[in-house]
Amino acid sequence: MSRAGTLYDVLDLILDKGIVIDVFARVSLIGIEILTVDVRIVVASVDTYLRFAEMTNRLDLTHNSKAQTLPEMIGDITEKGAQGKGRGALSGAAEAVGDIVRPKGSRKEDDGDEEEAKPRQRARSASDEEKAKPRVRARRPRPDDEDAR
Amino acid sequence: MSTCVYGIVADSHPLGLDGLRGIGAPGSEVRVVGEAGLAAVVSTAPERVRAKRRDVLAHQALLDRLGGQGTVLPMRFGTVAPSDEAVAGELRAGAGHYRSLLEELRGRVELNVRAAHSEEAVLREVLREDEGLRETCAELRAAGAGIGDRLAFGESVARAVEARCRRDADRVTGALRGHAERVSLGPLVNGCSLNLSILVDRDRVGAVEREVDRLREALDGLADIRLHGPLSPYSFVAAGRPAAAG
Amino acid sequence: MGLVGMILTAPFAPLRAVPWVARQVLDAAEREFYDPAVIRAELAELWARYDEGEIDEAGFDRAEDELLARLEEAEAIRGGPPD
Repeated sequence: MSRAGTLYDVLDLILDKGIVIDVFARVSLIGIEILTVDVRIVVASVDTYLRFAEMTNRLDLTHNSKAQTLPEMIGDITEKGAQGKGRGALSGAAEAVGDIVRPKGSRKEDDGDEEEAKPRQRARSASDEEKAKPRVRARRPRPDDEDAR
Repeated sequence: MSTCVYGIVADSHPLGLDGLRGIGAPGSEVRVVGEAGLAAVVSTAPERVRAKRRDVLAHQALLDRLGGQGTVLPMRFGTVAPSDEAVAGELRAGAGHYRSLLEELRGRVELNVRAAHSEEAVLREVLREDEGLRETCAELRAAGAGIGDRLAFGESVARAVEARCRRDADRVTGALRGHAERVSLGPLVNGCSLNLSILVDRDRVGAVEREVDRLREALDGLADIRLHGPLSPYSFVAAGRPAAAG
Repeated sequence: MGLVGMILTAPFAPLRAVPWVARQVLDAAEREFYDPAVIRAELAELWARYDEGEIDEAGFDRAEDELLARLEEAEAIRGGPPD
């Protein structure tokens, strides 16, 4: 059975799915399915596009200028990036990217076990100068959420 | 006070609920309302139920226990009836519908699979695969791009990232669909790229776990894949009861 | 947030547009503040941090109540419960 540790991961199932009896009251939470479900994986907004442009530029530079192989370059990012563990949301680039570097042989123990004893920092993306968490984020399209004002 | 409803089972269900409490602090007494060959697990509830963590945990614990002993139809969290009589009335009115649902879901559980991409890893992958993007990027850098150009370029990168995430998500869904009696795609909450629920026979859970392990390996470093469950079939009990199906 | 990002990266915005822009920023911020999906994500995040032992019981309870109150306000703003 799912453990408390992963409950927040399936919160939307518990709050939005399940049997509804119309004549009975329901907790006054807005069910996600009431809002138009945004199937977009990437948030469509000026902010996101400019951030992607900037990140691509930075990655493209590191790719061309130094004659590093991909793993070594990623190694740099891993050191610079925050160590941490993905949780429900987009997993920290540092740890996920770090997996590439790890030699194929050593199988990463199962990521799903929440009860690991070691304290973990919350996952943060490797691009440290970004204040807001640059995440591929699904979001409701708000009625006036067109790209450029 | 009103009656909070957690789940509906057949009256033949063992209903071994000792040690479990309903919502509220300190937890409410759990009881059973029997009617028309069905049983609803309920407790007394305040007028206003809120999604407090301890209450959602209590709701989930009751359904996990019931699901472990037989088939349960999970109510949405915080479903509150005016009284026990109202619950009995609903069981009577919907007896046929609930019985057929119980039959359909017998021996089956819900498994939920979520994929979350690492943005930077996907971006690298997209850059590696798409020479056009790399060229545009170099041109923009050389020419010192204005906001308009950067915006357009950013959008094309975002499209490529979205396409790649979707491709991976579809790949996971495709691999798991074969194990599933039914499939339900949920909203992409918390920045995930896939929120897939599948209804599987209990004896297939091991096979699904192995399949997810294979997918984890295949997408290692690109996406984080989590498997939750077995859960009670939240996504397969069809939110509302058709009025006619009494 | 969408608009805030744009404002910072668009240095050429003429000064007289500021009140309009400021209001837009406030609108966007408020909309985000009351966006149920955002509040839900924050709720899940709060639970996760509590599970990680980063917050104590009392701190968690207060923060949770505040988020749930905001969720109810969001619902009032969006025109009442779903049914």
